[in-house]
Amino acid sequence: MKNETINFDIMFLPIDIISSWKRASISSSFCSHLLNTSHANKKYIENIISTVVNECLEFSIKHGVKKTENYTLSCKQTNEKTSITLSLYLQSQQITLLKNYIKKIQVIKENNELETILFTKEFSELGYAIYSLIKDYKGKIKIEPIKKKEKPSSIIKTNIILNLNIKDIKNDYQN
Amino acid sequence: MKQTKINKITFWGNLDESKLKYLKNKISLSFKMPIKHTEDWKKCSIISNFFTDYCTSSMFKNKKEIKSILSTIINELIENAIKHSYKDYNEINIFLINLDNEIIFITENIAPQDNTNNLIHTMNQLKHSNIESLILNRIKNNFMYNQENSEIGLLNIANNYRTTIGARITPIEKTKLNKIELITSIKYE
Amino acid sequence: MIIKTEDYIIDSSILNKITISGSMRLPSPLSYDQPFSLIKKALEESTTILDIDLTDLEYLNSSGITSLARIIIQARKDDKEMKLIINKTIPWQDKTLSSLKNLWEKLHIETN
Repeated sequence: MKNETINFDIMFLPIDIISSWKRASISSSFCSHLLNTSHANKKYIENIISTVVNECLEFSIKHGVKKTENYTLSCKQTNEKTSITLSLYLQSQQITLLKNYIKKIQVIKENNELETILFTKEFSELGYAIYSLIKDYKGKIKIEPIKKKEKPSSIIKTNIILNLNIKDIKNDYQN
Repeated sequence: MKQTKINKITFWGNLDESKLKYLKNKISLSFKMPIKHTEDWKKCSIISNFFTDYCTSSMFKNKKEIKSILSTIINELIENAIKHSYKDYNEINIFLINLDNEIIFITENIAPQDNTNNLIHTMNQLKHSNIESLILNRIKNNFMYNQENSEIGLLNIANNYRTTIGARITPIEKTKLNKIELITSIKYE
Repeated sequence: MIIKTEDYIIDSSILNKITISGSMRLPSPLSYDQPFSLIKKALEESTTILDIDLTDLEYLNSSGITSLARIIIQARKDDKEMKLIINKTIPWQDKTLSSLKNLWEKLHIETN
């Protein structure tokens, strides 16, 4: 197999997506188009990448703070892995909540308690997005504050890193 | 054509240079990617359609027409940046600035000296009163001398659409390369 | 009734059947209330199993899945039977909708 790496960054203003919601979908379709180099199951993989990127963008628009500042979506793909890094601003307590929430979802996943997430208040419907990423797409999430927090209310530039294993996805398609 | 080495930052073309001062603080969308001329050519169209769709998604009036014009212009500008990039520095930066009834589109790439000189020549021609005749002359010359690149893209944009174009050229120290920022202003109603 | 936008179509003109096609990525579960009111109404009026044909629905975001899941929970409360007709070549349908079966035993999934 050809050793191909794709690497690109998109910088956007959350406020622009708030003013025209369709921009999230336009951006995720664009990313999936560029990231998908597979020929055999092109549409299938594109649909997965677009779904994941769209949820990621929607998260940043809904929960990010400083919506007039630039956020960055960096995508990197090798033969093995697709990595999506979203760089946004979050309040430090949101980071703690998000980290706890991801742990909670792991437990929900193990106990098959889907209904619990549908009515949770924290991160609203995005609970389902995280659940789906972990369960359906075998994705991995990492939350990485870029700067150390100063006080609980402080706003911190944060990276949310999502990793998808393309080999697993291709295997799913074949099954 | 005379090969001139550029020693300082220069600005060329028919766009008002003072516009540049505040532009980079108003960027609404940017994209950065290394693009290989031959292998990634199809990406030009994907990228230009993305920028066009993103930009026009909030528009209601004359959307179809603006979309078609924007996509044509943006595609031409991206192709231009890729064609003239130096092979080892093929990263392209693209910026979109959305103003009232005006879209500013900036491409950034690294170009060797001969391509930079060609660009300066084209930028000077933008001030010509009859761009159409210049385009026809170029087409004839390209045919006669069997030139690979048509070099009419920028002139065509300036001639057919309500655009003004400027190029800021920054020499890169200790190299024969230049950073090219091509700024295109597109007016619409 | 038919709801038609630039991005999606919801057709409930046939009794006991709803067809959703296109791409639905609305901003929140609340914004699905209006388009999905057709599903709720069809469910209330259904005389037998309500078929929801999603085979031409390319995308539905988590807000939409959450809204659909809430309708399924409502169907469970009202003891209404439902069937989701899904497209196996669209990954989110195959992966995500299958798990909704856990919400309601009378929810059937049919692969097209």
